[in-house]
Amino acid sequence: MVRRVVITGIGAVTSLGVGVQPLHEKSVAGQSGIRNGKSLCTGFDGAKELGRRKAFRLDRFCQLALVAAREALETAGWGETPPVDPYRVPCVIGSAIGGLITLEEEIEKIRQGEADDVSPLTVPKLMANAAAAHISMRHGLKGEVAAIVSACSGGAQAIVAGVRAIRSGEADAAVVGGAEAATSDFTAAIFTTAGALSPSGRTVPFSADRDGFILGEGAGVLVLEAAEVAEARGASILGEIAGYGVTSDAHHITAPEPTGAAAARAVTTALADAGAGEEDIAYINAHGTGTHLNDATEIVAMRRALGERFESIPISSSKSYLGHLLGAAGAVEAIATLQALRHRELPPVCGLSGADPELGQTDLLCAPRKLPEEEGALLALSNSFGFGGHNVALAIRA
Amino acid sequence: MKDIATSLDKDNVLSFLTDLILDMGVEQNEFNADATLEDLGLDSLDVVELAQGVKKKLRIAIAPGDFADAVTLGDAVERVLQKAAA
Repeated sequence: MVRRVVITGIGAVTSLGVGVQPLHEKSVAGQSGIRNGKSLCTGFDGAKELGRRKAFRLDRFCQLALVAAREALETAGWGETPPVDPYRVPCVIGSAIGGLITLEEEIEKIRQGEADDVSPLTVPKLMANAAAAHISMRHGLKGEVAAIVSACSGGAQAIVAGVRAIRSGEADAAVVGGAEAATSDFTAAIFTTAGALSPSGRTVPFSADRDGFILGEGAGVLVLEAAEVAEARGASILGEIAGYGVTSDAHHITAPEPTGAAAARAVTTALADAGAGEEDIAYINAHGTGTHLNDATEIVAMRRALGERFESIPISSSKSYLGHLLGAAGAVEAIATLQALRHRELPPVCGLSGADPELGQTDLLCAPRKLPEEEGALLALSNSFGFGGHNVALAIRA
Repeated sequence: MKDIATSLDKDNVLSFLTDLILDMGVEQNEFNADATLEDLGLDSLDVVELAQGVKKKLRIAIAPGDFADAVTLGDAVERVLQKAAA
């Protein structure tokens, strides 16, 4: 019998605000956090949230992660330390790039001929595992602590890492998620020359005139627990990671494999793992970057995995209102998916007035949609794909 | 720059180090010359930053190791003055 893995806590910082509540409420109200071609957490002040001293020693991606983790652990009702043996609580946080702001600041010193001034805090601030390390220190998590660095699927793979640790019996709970703050001119230039960033500054995934994604910053953290552990302590259960599928294209470093075979396999694996079929899916939170290639290939892959049933499954992309959070995307979008199920209301593709006809018949959401208020849990998929050919599908039940 | 170094005294070095430490996010109400670096929450990485600040802004060649036996902020002021006079 495989251990069930439930979600007892969620926390997020996004351009829609600090907390999971604005993330859901604003998204289903059709609001976007994108301003002037970027999706920044403008109201977020690390020093105010964490204290000046703490903030000084942290890159912004870590500040975002710590505040998201604080909310997640509060939601879960954890105290200063975990409610289970802390050595059985891993912490895995994905980040595609890590502390880019720190890296750029310190490299500038070298350019200015000030090598002696390079901060000794540089590596502790920029290393991709810093977010997980700081969360573990703050909350006394003594199981395995690591980053998953797999571009834009890292946040989703961090969730998978937590599920595996709990299912295997190695862990009783896990704190997992993703964090990113890499929205600099440098990053924008890279994704522009790579042809992935939206030159128009407006990103409408799955539209006929889509022209790329918008850079976003933020963090999402989830508390996962073995179901029996959560039930024994009387925790409030928000949902369940019912299944996952992780595959690789083994094709190209940036372009998705055109048949979508590997992405489709991630989806069918996740469904089988959840003991579900395509008829059970109430919603798909797409990877939906808004690049021409991603969106077209994602639809091909979904159709391949789910057959005709795909055409009547409501689908939308959080990147239409959050931008692309790179290594944080998978975690934040898993939270958005969970919230959509819990509140029985699906966020639309912000700005979409009609789906690209070349994508064929779909149920792409141009407006928020209420789900039936029926009893019993619903199932949704959250897709994440990453440069490198990484494909992750999470089957979330709530 | 020599002028800055020769015009240094305990008060202005203490004030300078205080500003550097404030920039590191330590709260001001924790300060006095008797405060230990440990009390202020400074670790070995912060001491390196302190030495970098002194070197850059006061043009005094001081290495992090020069603060090795500095227990209090007052001790750190003394080390800076010794280096400035050397």
